[in-house]
Amino acid sequence: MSSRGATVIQTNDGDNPIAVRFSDVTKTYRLYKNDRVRLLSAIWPKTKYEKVHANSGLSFTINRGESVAFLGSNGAGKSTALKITTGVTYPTSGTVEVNGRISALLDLSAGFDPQLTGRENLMLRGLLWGLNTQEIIDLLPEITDFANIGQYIDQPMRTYSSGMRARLGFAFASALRPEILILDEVLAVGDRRFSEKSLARMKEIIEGDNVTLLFVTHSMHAAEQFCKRAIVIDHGKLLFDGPIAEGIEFYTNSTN
Amino acid sequence: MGRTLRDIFRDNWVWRTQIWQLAKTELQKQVRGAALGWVWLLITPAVYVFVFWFAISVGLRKGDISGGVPFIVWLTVGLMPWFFMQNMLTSGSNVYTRYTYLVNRLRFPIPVISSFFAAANFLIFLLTQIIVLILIVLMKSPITIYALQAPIIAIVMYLFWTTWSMATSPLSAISRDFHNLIKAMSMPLFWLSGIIFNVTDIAIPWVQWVLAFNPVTFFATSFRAALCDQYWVWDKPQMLWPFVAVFTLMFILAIRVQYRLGPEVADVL
Ligand SMILES: Nc1ncnc2c1ncn2[C@@H]1O[C@H](COP(=O)(O)OP(=O)(O)OP(=O)(O)O)[C@@H](O)[C@H]1O
Ligand SMILES: [Mg+2]
Repeated sequence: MSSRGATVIQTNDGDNPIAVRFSDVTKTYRLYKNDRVRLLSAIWPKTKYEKVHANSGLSFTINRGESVAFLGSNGAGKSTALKITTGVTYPTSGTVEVNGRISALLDLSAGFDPQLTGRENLMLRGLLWGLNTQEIIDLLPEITDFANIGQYIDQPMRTYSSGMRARLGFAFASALRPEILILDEVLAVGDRRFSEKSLARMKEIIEGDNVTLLFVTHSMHAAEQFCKRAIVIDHGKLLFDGPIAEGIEFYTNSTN
Repeated sequence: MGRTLRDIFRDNWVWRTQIWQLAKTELQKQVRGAALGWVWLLITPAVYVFVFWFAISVGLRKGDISGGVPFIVWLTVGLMPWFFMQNMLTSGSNVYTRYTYLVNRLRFPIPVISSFFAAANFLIFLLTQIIVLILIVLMKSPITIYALQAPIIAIVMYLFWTTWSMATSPLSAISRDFHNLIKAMSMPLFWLSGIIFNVTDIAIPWVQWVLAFNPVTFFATSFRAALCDQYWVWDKPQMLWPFVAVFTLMFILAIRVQYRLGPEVADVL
C-alpha cells in the first residue's frame, strides 16, 4: 500500500533475514485549528495546518530474531514508529519494509472490544489472525492459564482493570507465536508476579521461537532483561542505535 | 485511485470469512443484554408498521393508495427496507468510531468495516422479511413472477449502502459536523421518499423526478414493484435511471474519499 510519497512493503515472509527496515521514514501529523477546518481540508487541499514531525528521517534495520528496545521521552515518537511498523498508520514519506506476521499490543486496550467478553474477544482476534475456530479453542487454555483472570474471562471487557486487560492481551499476543511481536508499554501495569511471568515468557519466545521483538518501555530494568539492542529516539529523530547497555547509558545521560 | 478500487475488492475477498464472523459479532452486540434478544429486532419494526397503518388507514382514511394489494402488505413491503436504510444512514455513516480498535489497534482494511456492518444489518433485514412473507400469505396477496426481482433488489440495496458507508464514514471520522448533518438528513429522506405514499401518484412531474433521486424512494418502490405493484423495475425508467446515476456517483465518491482520507482515519480517531 502506498500513500503519496511513502512506500510500505509488507510480506508474510518470516524467513527473510530482515524483519523490519525503515529508510528515511517521516511521519507528519497535521494539526488543524478545529474539526471544521479539518473537514474543509478534505475538500480544499490548501487549507492551513500546523505540522508535527512525530518521526523524522528514521532509518534502521532490525534483523530476524533481534529484540530491540525503543527508548525516549514522552512524545519522542516511539509509539508512532511501532504503529507504522504494525501498519495501522501510514508514513508520510520514506520506505518501510516489514517481513513476517505481526502481533502487536499498541496500548493498554490491547485492541479488544470492550463490549465483548474476554472469551469472545479471543475468538474474534483469533479469527482476525487467520486461525479457524478449532485452532483457537486449542489455544484458549494456554491463554487463560497464563492470563489467570479467573471468571472474568466470561465478563465484558469493559469490566476489566487495565492490568487484567494487559494480561489477556499479552497472553494472547504471545500465544500466537508471531514472527514479529510489538509491545508498547503494556507490561508496565502488570503486578510483580505477572511481570516476572511475562518476562520469562518473552525470554522463552525470543530464544525458542526466534521471535523478533520491538519493545517500548520506560523501565530500563525491563529493557536490559531481554533486549540486546537499543534505539533511542528524541523529537522523532534517531539519536542512538547500538548495544543495550550503551543505549541505556546514553539515554539516562541525555535526560539528566 | 485505481489501486484503491482494486484494494477494496481484494480486501473484501481476502477477508470474506472474517466479514461473516464480524457481522455475527455485531449482531450479538445488538441483541445482547435483552432477555428477548432477537425478538426485539422484530418488535420495533412491527410497532412502526402498526403505528403507520393506524395513522394512515384509520386516522387519515387514506388506506386506498396501495393499488390491488391489501394496504398493510403494501405498507410493510415499503417500510421494512427503511429500517435497514435508516441504520445505514445514521450508524453506517460513522462505522470507524464504532470500531476504533479495528482502525488503529489492529491491521485491518478499513473499507471492510463497512462491509460487515452492512452485512449485520442486512441479516436483520432478511429476518424482517419473514414478517412480510407471513403477511402476504395471511392477506392472500398474490405472488407473481415479478417477485423474482426482490432478492436482486435486496442485494443491490446491500451494495449501495455499503458503498455509502465507505464514502461517508471517513468524513464522519474527521468531522462530527458532517455526521450530524447526515443524521439530520435522515428524517427528510424518509418523508420525501415513496415509503408512505406513491411517488408515481404525485401530480407534479418535476417533484416526481426530484424524489426519484432519493435512493430510499428507489428501494421502497422497487420492492413494491416486485411484491405489490407487479412490474419490472426497468418498466419505469424514470425511477431507475436517477438511481443508477446516484449509485454511480456514490461509487466514485467512495473511491475518492477512501483514497484521499483512508490513510488519515487512524490518525484522527
Ligand atoms: N494522532 C495524532 N495526531 C496528532 N499528533 C499526534 C498523533 N499521535 C501522536 N502525535 C504526536 O506525535 C508525537 C509522537 O507521539 P508518540 O505517541 O509516538 O510518542 P511516544 O514516544 O510514544 O511517547 P510516550 O512515551 O509518551 O508514549 C507527539 O508529539 C504526539 O503529540
Ligand atoms: Mg507511546
